[in-house]
Amino acid sequence: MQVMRVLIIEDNQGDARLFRQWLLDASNTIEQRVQSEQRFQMVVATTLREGAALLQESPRNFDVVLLDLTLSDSMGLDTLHRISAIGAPAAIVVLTGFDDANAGLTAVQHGAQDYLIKGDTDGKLLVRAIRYAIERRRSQLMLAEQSRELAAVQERHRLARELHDSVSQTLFTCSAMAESALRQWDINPTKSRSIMQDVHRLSVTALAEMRVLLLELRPMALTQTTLKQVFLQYLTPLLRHHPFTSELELDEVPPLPADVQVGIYRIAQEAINNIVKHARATQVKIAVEVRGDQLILSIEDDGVGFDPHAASATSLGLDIMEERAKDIGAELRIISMAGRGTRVRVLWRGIGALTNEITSTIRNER
Amino acid sequence: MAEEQKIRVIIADDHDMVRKGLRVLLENFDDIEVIGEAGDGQAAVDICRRLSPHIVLMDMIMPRLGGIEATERLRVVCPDVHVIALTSFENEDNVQRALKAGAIAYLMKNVSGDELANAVRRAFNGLSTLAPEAAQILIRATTRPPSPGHDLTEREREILALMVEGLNNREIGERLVISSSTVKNHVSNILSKLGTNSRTQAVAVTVENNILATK
Repeated sequence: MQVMRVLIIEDNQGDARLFRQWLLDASNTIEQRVQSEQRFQMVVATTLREGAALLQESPRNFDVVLLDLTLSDSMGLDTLHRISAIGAPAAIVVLTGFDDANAGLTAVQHGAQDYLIKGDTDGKLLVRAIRYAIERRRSQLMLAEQSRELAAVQERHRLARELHDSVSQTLFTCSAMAESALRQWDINPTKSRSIMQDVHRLSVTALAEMRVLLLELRPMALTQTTLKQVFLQYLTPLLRHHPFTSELELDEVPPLPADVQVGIYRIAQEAINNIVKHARATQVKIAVEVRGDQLILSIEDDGVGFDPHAASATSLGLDIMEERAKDIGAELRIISMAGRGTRVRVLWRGIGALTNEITSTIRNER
Repeated sequence: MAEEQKIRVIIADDHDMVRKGLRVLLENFDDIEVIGEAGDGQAAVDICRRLSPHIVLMDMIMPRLGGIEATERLRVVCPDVHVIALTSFENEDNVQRALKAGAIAYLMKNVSGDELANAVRRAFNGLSTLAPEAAQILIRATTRPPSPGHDLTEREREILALMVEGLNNREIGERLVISSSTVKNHVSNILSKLGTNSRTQAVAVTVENNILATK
């Protein structure tokens, strides 16, 4: 026999009693027919505060919440948001008054699994709504878990690819160079010595690449500090050992939303990777500026450039950059011509909103 | 050894430093001469037509045109050039695809100077060399039970693809115009063929083993 545990949050005692009775009846009739599959267990709360506390205390103790949207301590969609914010696995069926059926539909659009109109509901309808809501919630949770697992697998693949593309290439070259230096040791000491300088440079590069990958393994490290710090951590070891001169101009930026910070970092990473791997540049300029409401990242080099129409975008990670920019609502512009260098510019509007938020938090704290 | 008898080699790799490292490594051997470099597969094909080398050291993952595609193309436009695949990837797919495309040897990027030079000399004489890792992979591929998902039917692969997209049975049914109970049958067959007991696991196994990409 399956027991369905129902939390009824309803301040009208008459309604609450009616729902209880319907569910009890349903349990009994089903049991009498012996082919019983389900029975209902009910807990009634009369305020949002009480209901939320019960759910918060033991979120796994309920399969479904019957939620009246109009309570003495909460009204409308807000009631729903406060219950769903608890993040319990329970399904939510909202109860609306006869005169505002629209509220039910809106509630479903905001995450409730179903709605019932008081005064236009009977026992059968209630039982069916509860059973369907639980099923719907279950498959919703399963899908969410599925996409989390997928994301984790894809993340592992990406890291493996980056390892292959950076550290392992550098270390292979390093060992090939070291072997050559040893072979030339007695025959041609001057050459051996110059090869050893490459070995040293490569081993430092490998260390820098390793550090970047370690940063990837702890994504928190990307968001727990300012954008300027993240850029410095990434760029300092990288730029020291490349044959181009570089100019950094990094403004202090107010704390950014995590996704924006990561997005901007990834775009920069992709652009700089292109420079290191393909551009043969002699000068690189990287700047992060705040201008009024705008955050501007620009990365310029004087390297070989490319024809944006000829190069397949995937090969240079241009589509990855586009996608990252779109995800965070930024504008991306890439200007390049064969032989004329490349300029990547990202423009994100929203600094103003950030400072407003900060001032309003400060006001609230007062 | 007389100049004209040197084995002429081209290095194709998208990392500048790797090309330099290989060049320096091959400079240790008097019978081998690096006559050119290419930063992607297309450049490798172009330079081969111009310089007709004996051997191309070919990285597998490159922009514009990958190493496998470039190897295939070379077999048509420069059939006398021998390709040595040189890569840091050692999965089964890559080894088999490279050899099918026409590579005469498959080496890993952990090869020593002597090993590389020997592979170049052998390739010059039309002989194959396999890195131990690649040999291992080929042996395993011929002896071990086939990979998960090898026995899926076309229909099942189609349905699995929709499962990966996150569709439920009803939505899959609508998409393929079949009843959801038919979908359910297919799904349970898929789960058992993949040796999994939930959709979530099946999707994870699919992505992990790249089941839908092969074949």
